[in-house]
Amino acid sequence: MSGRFHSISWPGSLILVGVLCSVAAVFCAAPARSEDATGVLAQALKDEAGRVELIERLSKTVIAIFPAAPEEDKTPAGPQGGGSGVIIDAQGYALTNYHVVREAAKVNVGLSDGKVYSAAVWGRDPTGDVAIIKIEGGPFTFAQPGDSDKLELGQWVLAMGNPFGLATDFKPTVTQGIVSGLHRYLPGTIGGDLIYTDCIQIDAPINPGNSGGPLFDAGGRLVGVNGRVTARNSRGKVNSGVGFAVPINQIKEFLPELLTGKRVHHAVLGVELSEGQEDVTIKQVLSGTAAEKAGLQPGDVVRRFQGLEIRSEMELINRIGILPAGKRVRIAVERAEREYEIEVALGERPTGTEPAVVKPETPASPPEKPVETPPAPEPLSPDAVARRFVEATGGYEEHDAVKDIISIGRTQMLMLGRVWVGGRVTQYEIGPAKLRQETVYVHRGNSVKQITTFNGKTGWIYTDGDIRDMTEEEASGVKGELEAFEQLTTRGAWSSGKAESSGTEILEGQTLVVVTTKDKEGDERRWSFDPKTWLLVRYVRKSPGNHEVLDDRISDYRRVGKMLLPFQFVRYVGSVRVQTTRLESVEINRGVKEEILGDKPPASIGPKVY
Amino acid sequence: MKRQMVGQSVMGMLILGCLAGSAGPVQAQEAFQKAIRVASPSVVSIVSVARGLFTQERQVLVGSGVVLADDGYVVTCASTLGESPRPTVMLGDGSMIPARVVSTDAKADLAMLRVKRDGLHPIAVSAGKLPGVGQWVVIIGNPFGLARTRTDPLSASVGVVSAVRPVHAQGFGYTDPVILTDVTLNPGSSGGAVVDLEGRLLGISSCVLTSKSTNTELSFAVPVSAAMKLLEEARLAETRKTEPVPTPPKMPEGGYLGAYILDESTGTKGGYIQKVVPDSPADKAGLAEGDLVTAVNGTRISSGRELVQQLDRLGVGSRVEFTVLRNKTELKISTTLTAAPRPVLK
Amino acid sequence: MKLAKGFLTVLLAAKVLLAGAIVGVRVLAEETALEGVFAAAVKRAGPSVVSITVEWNPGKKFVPPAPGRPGFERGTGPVAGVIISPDGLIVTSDFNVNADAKRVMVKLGDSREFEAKLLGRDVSRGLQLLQIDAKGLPVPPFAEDSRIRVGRWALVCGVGETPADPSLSVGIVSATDRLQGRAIQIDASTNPSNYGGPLVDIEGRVMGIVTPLTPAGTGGGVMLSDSGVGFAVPVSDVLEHLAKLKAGETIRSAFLGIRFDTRTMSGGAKVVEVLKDTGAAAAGIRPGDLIVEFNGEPIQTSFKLLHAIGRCRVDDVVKFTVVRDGKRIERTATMGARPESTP
Repeated sequence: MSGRFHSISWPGSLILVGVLCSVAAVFCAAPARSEDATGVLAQALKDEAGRVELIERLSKTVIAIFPAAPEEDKTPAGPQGGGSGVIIDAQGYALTNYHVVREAAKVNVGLSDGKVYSAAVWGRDPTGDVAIIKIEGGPFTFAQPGDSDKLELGQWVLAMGNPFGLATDFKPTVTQGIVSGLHRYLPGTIGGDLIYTDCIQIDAPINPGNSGGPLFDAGGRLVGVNGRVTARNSRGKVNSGVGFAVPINQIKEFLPELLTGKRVHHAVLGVELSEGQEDVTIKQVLSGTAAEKAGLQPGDVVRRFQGLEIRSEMELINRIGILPAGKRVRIAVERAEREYEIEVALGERPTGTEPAVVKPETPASPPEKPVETPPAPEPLSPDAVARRFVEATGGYEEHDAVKDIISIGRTQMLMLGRVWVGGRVTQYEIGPAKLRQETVYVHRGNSVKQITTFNGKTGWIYTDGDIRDMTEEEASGVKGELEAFEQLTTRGAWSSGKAESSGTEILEGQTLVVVTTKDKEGDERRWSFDPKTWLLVRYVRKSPGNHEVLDDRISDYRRVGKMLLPFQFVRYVGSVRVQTTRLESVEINRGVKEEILGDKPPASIGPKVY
Repeated sequence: MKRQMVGQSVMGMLILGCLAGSAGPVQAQEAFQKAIRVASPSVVSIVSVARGLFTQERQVLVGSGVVLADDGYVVTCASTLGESPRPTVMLGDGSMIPARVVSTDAKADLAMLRVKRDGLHPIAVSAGKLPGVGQWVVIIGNPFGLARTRTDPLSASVGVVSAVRPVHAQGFGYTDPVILTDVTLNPGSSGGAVVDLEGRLLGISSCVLTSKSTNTELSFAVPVSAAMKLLEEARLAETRKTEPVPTPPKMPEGGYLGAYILDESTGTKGGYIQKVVPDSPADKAGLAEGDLVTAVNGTRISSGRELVQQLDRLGVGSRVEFTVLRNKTELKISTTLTAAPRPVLK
Repeated sequence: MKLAKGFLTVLLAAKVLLAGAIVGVRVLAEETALEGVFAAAVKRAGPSVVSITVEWNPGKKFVPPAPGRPGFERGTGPVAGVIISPDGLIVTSDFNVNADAKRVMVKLGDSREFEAKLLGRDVSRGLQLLQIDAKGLPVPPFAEDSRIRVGRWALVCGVGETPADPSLSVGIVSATDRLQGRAIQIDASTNPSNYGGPLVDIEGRVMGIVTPLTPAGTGGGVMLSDSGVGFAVPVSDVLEHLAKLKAGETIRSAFLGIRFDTRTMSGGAKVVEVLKDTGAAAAGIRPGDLIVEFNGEPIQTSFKLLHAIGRCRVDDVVKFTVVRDGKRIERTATMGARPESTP
């Protein structure tokens, strides 16, 4: 009987199942096929109501973070502005950005129930820009973590927080958007902090004050902590559709340590990489690092990291950057046509913060008097020299914001024939790399006008009827003076090449600290700094045109905005002085800038008087 | 046991059936994800050589582009190419291939490039009807050059069509309707793809421009029909084997006026004309030394620098009306800007 | 058995595929359906959106900088307004239209054009009321306050060159009762092309009027345009003040005249500065005072006081308690009007 039952029931069950299934599918899918407008609106309203309810639930986990009153917090190293955070545990542990709390010991927190709570700053991750605080009280509603590795472009996200300090009733601002990009790398400060090594890009609008707040997915799970935007200075500090969040999977790597109240460090491998067409090779293994200890060698082709394929340098940076120091990882490399799997205990990346030395927030201002620094007994590294120079002339934040420095007017002394003539130069910048310049020289009582248009390669010199092409030397000379300065400031320390060495030299009885760099063509450049002020006073390099050695003496530093810029350049070719330029006024053009939200919301926004 | 299996299968199928019918209480995002997956392979980045005023040449990601045909045609924004006649296209796999500018539509600010490469993914194009207000758009491009290497995904953003109408923007000469959206565009987004939920091309993202109507930034896309028309022209040009000199983009470099403008820092209410070049448009229109230009095409200016900036936005052939103060009398002087004269070599 | 099992597997696979396809179709259909919903909502609100062209008095086209906001050059295009009553009352934003205008022309959806007379202005909310000589105009449906919830779709309608040509920005309601209870916050793109226009829900009901407010209160919020932070005054508020605006009054925020220290978050609102010639000065409040009670409400933080003041009107008489040198002192003050120059 069982045999017969089986032989009949199978086809029968299949048909039955098939029918039931189709009916179920058609039944549930019916509204989508309906042409009925009210049915469509009804569904939309239903979905909308679901979102409203989800947001209401999630809002209970979002906090507004305020600096503690001066009497409450003896370490006055917290931020001036405020930020946001998200509660991740019933006892009151909450996530936020490191840059929202910095070195403060206590902060005040506002919950969506309208009440204020006190919180202690618990664990810090300056490199990854994450911090844990513990709110007094409880139990609290907390957010569930999601899996940021599963995120896909186009996925819907919600950002919650306190932009512009608008949540005076502590009910968070909610914005929505999609995941715009993944695995983005944003460099941090020069000290090695606030590096967004593998972050999520979103188009949900986030603004100053949103920092530290949660990023939720459609299911209401916490997938990131919002912290940065790319803002265009032409629009002020407001969002322009591009924001970034630290992914939750990175935070999970550090959570156990952060919850014990530690200051954590990120991992570092200790190699320099080079990227080929298809693969990534180790170019150099730095001495004393985890890579060296593990036996990695230059020439090794990196194939896999923790079992995952590595297709680009950025992928390896993404993967290492989110790990804590000391983590043991497996790296598969190819060496001499054989594959080796090497276990590495990753090293520790130093943070830029010095908790022992607490400085109150002051705007970057150049020293009024030269800072007394006795010449170091050993030569400083080129990067240390660059750091001192940048800090002496305005600080990293100011330098990072600079795109172009333009001199508006200047006087110039020029050899015309064998006679020195002085002239007043008026210069207009018209678009990138285009310059129109008009110089009036007075020569033997006659005025000689020189109009030059420089677009990078050619130019005309119009002198009262004569027009001729500029020589390459003249063309390169036009851009000369501030070139050195711009190279040091706008694109990082040694954009003209790699820093080779540092030492000292004596110029006119003064000892200067010198850094040599080599540019792409292998030509050497020398940058000389005054060790008492750390200002750049001399810049020597070969002229690109005819390979003469140009020696610029730079002086007369004046304050322009928050920067110190040079206003006088005396140029020597060999030992012959050929040109003296004095700038009249200088304008600084700022470009695209990575913004860190939460620090000092724009001064113009915010309640003042009531 | 078999009965159990049947029972379980029935349950499973009923559940499956019901799942098929519900997409969750919050908006379904799979449509956005799918549109991005479908269209991204056809979007490229444009790399150009940039030269800051005082810096060396460096390669910069200046914008985005869209692959229109598998025989190598890529459309992008003409103005982002700058003066570089040989831009480089960066594909999704990170490879950089040189491109040629084959033809341009200066009015619509589009340029058609051609690359020599197999295996390109041309984008699917929407049927040709302009989208309606409220329709979802997915914008794919490379704002701020955030996607730098072969494993970085391009950036995607979602919004709706705000309006479909012609726009008046400084430096933009296209008079047909364009697709306005509520997605903020950024440097690097221009030339990117604006697609519908099926991943079909609706338009090409424009440069960031300022609306004359509101004096705030506009966000729009030039309709795909303009790009397809340019593609046809490009094909024609290629078959004729004539290499037409690509029309250089008209913004922001200006047309030629022929007047030396004195730069004053503050205090003046306009730009002074210091000298007029004989036989230039300025000369023919009657501008003279000592004239104070107080407005350009109705826009008030307050310094010589501003006058230069205003002029630089106007291309060859632009009509300009200057409001001029001469001997305490206000005059209006009009002229048309021409191409700059070539220098005479001696 | 093997055959049957294979059959079952194939059928299962087919069902999974079908389910997937149905999900895909349904998802796409759902998203496309939502587009239709947006378009329908805009269409429903459309007839009550008007296009306003402003001719400015010489020199007034440029909005000069003020403490807390940069200067702004107005564009040339028309701006938006909403019909608020059938007998010709139109509300718009005072950023786009105000008494500095020489001539204000209103164009309706049916292309009829009228010159408008300026009535009252609500400075605290950035609104300007206009009157045109027309009757039987289409007033839009309004949304109830209870329907303004965080997370609902927020559709902003602006105008193009013609009123029959609206522009749309979509976002969600980000928060309610912002700016001391004055505004709905949205993340849709707001800018001069839609200031003065309606904030609409997906049923086509007007929830509010978009204006460029800032937390400081003045209408100079144009620097927040297209930033994902935008504001709209709830339509119920507009209707509440309509009688006063119709009578030509200027409504200002209630103003006490004190500056707080926002860092104190317990024990009261700490006074940092008292402005001269204000209600607070007349009441004898001094810097260092801690306000612990206001109009019967206990005050623990300065934020609480902000909201309490926000509920007041100009000329309200308020009773409050301050703590000075450990002693509780009761005081009475008359709320003044917030001067326009104060940021």
